[in-house]
Amino acid sequence: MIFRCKNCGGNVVYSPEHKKMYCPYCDSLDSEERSEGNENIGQPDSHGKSNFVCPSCGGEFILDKFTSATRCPYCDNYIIVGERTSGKYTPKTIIPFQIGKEAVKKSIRDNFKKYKFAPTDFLSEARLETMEGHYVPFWFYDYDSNYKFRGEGTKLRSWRSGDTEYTETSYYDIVRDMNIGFDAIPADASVKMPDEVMDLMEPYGYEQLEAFKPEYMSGFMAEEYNMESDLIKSRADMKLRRDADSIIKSTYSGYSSVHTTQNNLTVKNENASFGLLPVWKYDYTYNDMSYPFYVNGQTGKIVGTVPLSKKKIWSYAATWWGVLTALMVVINLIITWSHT
Amino acid sequence: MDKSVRRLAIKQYFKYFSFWFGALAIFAVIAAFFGTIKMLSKGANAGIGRSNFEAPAERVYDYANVLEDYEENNLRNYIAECENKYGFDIVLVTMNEDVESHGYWETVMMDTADDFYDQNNFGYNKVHGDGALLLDNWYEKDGYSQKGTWLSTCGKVYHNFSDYDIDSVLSRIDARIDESPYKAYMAGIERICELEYKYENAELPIIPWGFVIFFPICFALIFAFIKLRKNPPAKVTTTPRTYVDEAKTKIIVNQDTFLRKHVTQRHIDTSSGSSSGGRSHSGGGGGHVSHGGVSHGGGGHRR
Repeated sequence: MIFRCKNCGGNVVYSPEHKKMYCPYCDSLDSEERSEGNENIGQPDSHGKSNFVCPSCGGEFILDKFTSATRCPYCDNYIIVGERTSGKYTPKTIIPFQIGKEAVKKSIRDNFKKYKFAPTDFLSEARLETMEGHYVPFWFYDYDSNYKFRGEGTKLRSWRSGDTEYTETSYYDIVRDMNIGFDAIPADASVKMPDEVMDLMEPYGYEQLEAFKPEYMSGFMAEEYNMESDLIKSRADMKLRRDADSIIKSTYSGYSSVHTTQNNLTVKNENASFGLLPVWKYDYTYNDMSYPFYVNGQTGKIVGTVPLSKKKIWSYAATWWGVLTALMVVINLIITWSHT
Repeated sequence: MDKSVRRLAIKQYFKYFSFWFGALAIFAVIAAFFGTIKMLSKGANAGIGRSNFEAPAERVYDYANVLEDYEENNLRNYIAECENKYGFDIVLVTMNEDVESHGYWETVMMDTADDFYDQNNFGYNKVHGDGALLLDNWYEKDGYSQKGTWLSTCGKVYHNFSDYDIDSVLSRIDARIDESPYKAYMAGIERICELEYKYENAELPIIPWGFVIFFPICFALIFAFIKLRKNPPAKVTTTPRTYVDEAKTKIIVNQDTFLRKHVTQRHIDTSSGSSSGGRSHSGGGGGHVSHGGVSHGGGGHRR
């Protein structure tokens, strides 16, 4: 499907700046008209890639296995693949992009301008313009859990009398029983997106979660979920365990040491739902190496490792060597010559 | 690389080093200024060095007659060369006199050396100016020896030389005097010049050349290694309570029960520290004022 402008027929996209549908051709707001078009996904090859005919211009291009929204390389219109955003692939919720491309570019520039030894074109307009917004598929897991804990804690007290130091050790029986509810622990369901990076994208502000509407996808890339919820549940379980341990631990502070004797976390109820979260991706390639940068499309948090130009660093180091040596030699000459 | 990117890289490079390139240029101009002055003054001052012309030309007074004529000449030549080079007078006096008939050996040797220097108006830069005088006594009678050497210093030599330096000169003489007085005096004079040269050059507070060579290398390497470190991708910004549903979270049991306690004791050793001493070095060894009111330094070794 594609969203067209009622006024000019151009491709209408969702604008994070306006928080509305926006036509970049005639500046109209909320002027969209949904056009289903004639979607035609061909037979997938061994990699799951299919031929796809653009419902807007009729151009034929390759559609990746899980792609649910993309841009036609011929007419540059954003296309949403209806078949991959409906039925069991319909996301329940979505956080629409809150930060637009220009704001992300500025944020990347502000964050990384202190890295003087990145390649010179790292922050150039031409490179940053290639950045794309992606809706990443996530499974959200809700848990009702119970944590039973028992341990022996010690408290130390010491004092001094004359030449003797006394140490008193007191022992306590610590018992905790706690119900902990977790709401929407996220785990990404995209093979393409690295798990550790998606974990670092967190947290998202769930107050902006909305019911899914395909309009939000216009102007961005997207995927259907690549993995069923039970396949990646173990990642959410790990987060549950980690957080529950920390919460229990925070209830028995003040002990010098605690020896755990019982440590039971049981999950009473759990529930999974599918949704989309916004991520800007800037793919920078330098010396045939890829340096991807990910920006949370809601909070603006940036995750990525800045590429370094070794040539630049060593030439600056050599200049430092030359300048400092020359400076000290000249200072010594001044001292010697001014003395006589 | 794209031309505009290369231009930007060069612009950034010069902006980064602008302060240091500027500083280097300013210092280079100052150095050129002093260099020019030095070259000009070298030409103007050619032939000028000694500024006291009231002292006798003789530097070797062998009253004890322990030196051959050619040895005296060699010493004169060596002294003349050293005086030109280092800018202070060097006088050698040998004698054969019963100094103890006039007082303590040290006092009489000191007075004799100082008076000889003063009365002859020695001093390179002025009368009673920079110089050193070696007085060597060869007196011996009925197996009783008053042999020994006294070094009297004046002007800059007095200011620079410590007791330790004077001792080091006299020790050089002691070590060779039995073998050959000539060699002993040569060695003594050589040591005086060596020490004075060391002090005069030490006066220049130049940056040590070892530092000039190694510091920039170390700095550049440390700079490179720091800059080659990669930035961490990002910090974790979730907390354990990020996904907690507070409405479904509550503590059912929260109980801490005291069980038992025990006490251990430990004896604490008290011990005292130790102190250490230091040694310092300063010039002006054996300072005193001669009969003529001139400040001298000096010291002697009796054989």
